[in-house]
Amino acid sequence: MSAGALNFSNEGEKAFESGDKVSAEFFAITYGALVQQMVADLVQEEDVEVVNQQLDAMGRRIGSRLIEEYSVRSGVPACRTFAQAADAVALVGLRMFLNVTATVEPLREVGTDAFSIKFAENPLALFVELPEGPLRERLWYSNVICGVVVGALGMVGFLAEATFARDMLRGDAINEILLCFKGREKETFQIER
Amino acid sequence: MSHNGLVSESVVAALNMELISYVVVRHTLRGEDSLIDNSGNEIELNIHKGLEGLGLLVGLRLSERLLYRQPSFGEWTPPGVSQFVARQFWKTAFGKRIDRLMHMNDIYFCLIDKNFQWLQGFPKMRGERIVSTTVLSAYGYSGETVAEDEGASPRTERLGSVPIHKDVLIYTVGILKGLIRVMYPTGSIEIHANLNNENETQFVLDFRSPTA
Repeated sequence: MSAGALNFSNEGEKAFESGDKVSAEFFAITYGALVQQMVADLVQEEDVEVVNQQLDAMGRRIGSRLIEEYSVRSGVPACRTFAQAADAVALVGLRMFLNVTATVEPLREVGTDAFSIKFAENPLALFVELPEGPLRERLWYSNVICGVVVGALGMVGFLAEATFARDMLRGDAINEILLCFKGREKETFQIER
Repeated sequence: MSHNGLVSESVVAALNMELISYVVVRHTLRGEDSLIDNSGNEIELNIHKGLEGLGLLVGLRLSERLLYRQPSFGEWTPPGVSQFVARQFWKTAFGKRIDRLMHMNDIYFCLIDKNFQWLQGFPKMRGERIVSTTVLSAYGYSGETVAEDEGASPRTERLGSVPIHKDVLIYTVGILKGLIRVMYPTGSIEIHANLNNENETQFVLDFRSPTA
């Protein structure tokens, strides 16, 4: 782990410890009830992708609100590069809000600004087993996390896409989110300092 | 580093607000297709039932987790239920204990939260307006109804699909009902919530037998 990454990781831990905290079980139960309701509301039982989209949209709204608290409490300066933003998401944001220890590394693909974020513990997935069939095959149960990441980054000028590549609820060995940066928004206003 | 079973309160508050919004949006959008003249009232009732139902589900499931670790035998007493809600449940869901617990004759309890976390994003109440729910619960779930506030006007109170204070209170009362149902399965209890003009939120647990 680089010195910069170590600093980010420490900042994430400090930010989590200094904030108000509630039960991860309550969090998981609430999320489970909502996902269950969304699945029950599907007009077509096989339209699982609709739930994925709803969770993503919900996450974007949450992320656009959490970024304010992140900016105030995380102690991390504004990110200037995609790599710094990826570090901030994986090492500070996920730790600060979800108490998740994650790793991040760039993908070795020519022409992409993409990163792989991996984490073993997922507080949303406590008590969850997906039944065989369309849900296990097509539902990204924790897709709200992808939405939160994209929504938060969008508020600070980073255009990004986040998608699950692997999910332990589907039997994979690790949870993996691919974070792909598409560009940056030009700032349209000045902030007095 | 092992997970210590905690997450940030702000992300949990945001998630619960999204749940409430999901229910409100679902019913207001469906209601707009309705040709019934009194669709406003019907929308309100459906929102209440939807929020209460999800709250009940959350409360029931949460009780399994919380009570699993409580060394208690048999049925809880009303004071025991109220203390548990004021300390354990509030800590679990809101990260703090209730601010005040008032009681009358060990049968009527009022839990007062001076700064209810889930209403922080809502405008402060002004003047004499008071937000209130009335959710009756007696001898199980069948026959339960959501009573409209006297004098409340859904059309002027609700603006489109945006959740209002009362939605938050109804959902929270639903959670309490689900939680307490497991602890106090055979007794009668009436649970309701008020937001007063000092912006204090009060949750009333009324264990008096209902008047026939």
